[in-house]
Amino acid sequence: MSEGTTLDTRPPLRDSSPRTNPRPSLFSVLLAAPLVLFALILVIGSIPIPIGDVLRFLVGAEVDSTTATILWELRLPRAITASVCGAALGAAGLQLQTLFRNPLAGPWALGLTGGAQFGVALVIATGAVVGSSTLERLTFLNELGIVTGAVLGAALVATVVASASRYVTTMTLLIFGLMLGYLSEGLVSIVLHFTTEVQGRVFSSWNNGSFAGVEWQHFPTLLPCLGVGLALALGLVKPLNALLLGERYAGSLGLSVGRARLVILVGAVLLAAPVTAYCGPVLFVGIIVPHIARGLLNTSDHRLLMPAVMLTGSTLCLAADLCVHLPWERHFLHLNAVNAAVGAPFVMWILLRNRNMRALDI
Amino acid sequence: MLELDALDIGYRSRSGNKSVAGQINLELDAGEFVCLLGPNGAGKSTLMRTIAGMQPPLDGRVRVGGRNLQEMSARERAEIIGVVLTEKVTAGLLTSYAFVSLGRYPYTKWSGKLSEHDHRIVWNAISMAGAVELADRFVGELSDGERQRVTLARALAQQPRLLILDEMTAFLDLPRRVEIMALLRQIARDTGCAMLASTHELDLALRNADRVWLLGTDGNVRHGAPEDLVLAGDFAATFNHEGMDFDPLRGALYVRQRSGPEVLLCGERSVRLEWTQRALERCGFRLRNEETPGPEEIPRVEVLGDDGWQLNDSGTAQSFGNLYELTRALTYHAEGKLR
Repeated sequence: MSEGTTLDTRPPLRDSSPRTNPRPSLFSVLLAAPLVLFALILVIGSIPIPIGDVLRFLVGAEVDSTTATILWELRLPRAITASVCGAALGAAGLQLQTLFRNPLAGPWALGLTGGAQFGVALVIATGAVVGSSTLERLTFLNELGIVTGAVLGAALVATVVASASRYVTTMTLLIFGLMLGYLSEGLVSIVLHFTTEVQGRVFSSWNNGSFAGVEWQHFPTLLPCLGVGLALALGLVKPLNALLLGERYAGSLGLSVGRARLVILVGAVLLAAPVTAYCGPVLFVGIIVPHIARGLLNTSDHRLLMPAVMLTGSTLCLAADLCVHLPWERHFLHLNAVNAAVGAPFVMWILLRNRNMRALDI
Repeated sequence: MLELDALDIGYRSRSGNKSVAGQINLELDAGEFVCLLGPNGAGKSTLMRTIAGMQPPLDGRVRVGGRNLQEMSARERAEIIGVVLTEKVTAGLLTSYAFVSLGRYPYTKWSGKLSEHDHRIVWNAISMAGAVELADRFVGELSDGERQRVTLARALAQQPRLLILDEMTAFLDLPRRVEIMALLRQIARDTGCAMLASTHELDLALRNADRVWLLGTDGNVRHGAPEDLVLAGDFAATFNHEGMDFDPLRGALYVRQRSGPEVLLCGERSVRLEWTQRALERCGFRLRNEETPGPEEIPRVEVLGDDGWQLNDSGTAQSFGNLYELTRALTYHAEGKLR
């Protein structure tokens, strides 16, 4: 122990950081999984399409018109939606878990999804009351209105949760978020009283969650929103890492904590709200994806974790969507039925593993 | 390195400012290891937080390296001041190495990627804190003592010119406390980093600190070499408010004994006499010695070299082979007299 203040003359004891470097093969698997599932979604369905036809269609060669219609109108938009929305929900979940130091945080658990639902319901109802005929003609504007409603609703809830997080403990914050979710649900059904029966029915099927409702015309709104959110998520890896130490240590490292909180919340809202606006509330994905990614990579380092949650989120949503659209005998499953059947036991397992909620793996 | 000019610390609230201590004028030099001592509630944490820039002062200035702390950005501050806080970090899936690397935060670009130079500094910090064997282990798996070493390494990786350590030894067992305190002083010497450590460990502070800042409940700060403060009676003045007596010979605090039976203690000055005195004090006796004999009828304990102890009480003499039996007999006699 005889080093001076300039510590850089001494050779390092070892080359670089040990143990945290995951095998490169792991990332190739993470990358391959969504691609395979993407292909399967195009192939499998009530009308199976041979992989050869799918490939021919993708490279622009001639296929018969029914096949082309099914692929272009139904399966391709659905697969793209599931991929980006999964990535978005995973990233939003990771951001919220680190920000609130809470292993069960997620856009749905903290009520952001509920807030977005309420925003959407409000916009639809306003449309229904204030002569929807005019608004419906302006499709793009209407769509933008719905997304804006969702973003504002989610942002409102995020503000409430963020202020509450200063006063309550980990578990209480989750219950708080769930209550906000119920509150939104209640408000949504009140608002739906003012809509027409048809709109109500459309709303309730939207409420079951599905990646199938998104068409090509929606992408110009959906993709830029999520693109900004995902880019922001990747740009936030350094402050998120600092926040692993807690807000006071993060502040002592030079992070302006207030601003970081704001940007992280804005990012999470930009990711979660558009997904909710277009696909309905998608449950559980945001909570469980970060845990799967942490388990695979064995690290909390966001530089590795953030891309991994995006890939894992895509994989999970593509798998869930594939499950929904398998050629079932009787009818389609709901997306959220699949998500809950897998997600709820997973969350219970997380709870059992973190019994005391003190040694949190975030 | 650190200067406090007419600093007034405390809390701001809507109903007005609550000052904890005012008119603090102190300085801390590079390479100096200073311990901040004081009774609970005197404002140690408030002073630490104010110096770390986590809380604004009510009045006056904190200057680090000649610059006003309040005028620095969070990042500039992070390049100069490192902190170790009492709170436990629960970042489960970070290795100690990755954890210490976060100390490079103020120096890295947006992705937080470390350069070769950064890696070298991280390893250096780890080896200075004696945490080389811990580098591969997850922070969540470490014991309290190991985690404190890693936390110290993280602060050192920041290459601070001032290191602020809040109750760093609080959760540690005695050997770890002794180790950490000695380590801190060594690092301050070696790196020229100024260190301010708040602690409850009077004894360790007296043995290791270059200087002590003594914060009293009256809001006054006394400062100086620990021995100077003992000799000037400053420890006694600070802690006597607390119903405690500071023993300047032993450098330790004792619960004040105002009542209790008296005992006359005689014998050669020796280790044996010293520990006999401690045993009797612990059992609640007030001691007199041959110079202040007091009334005739009080029991008299004589230390007989290596042969044990002799107790003369009310004309009878008894010998004891150990202090446990001696104190039991004395207590028994004293209770008998009360009845």
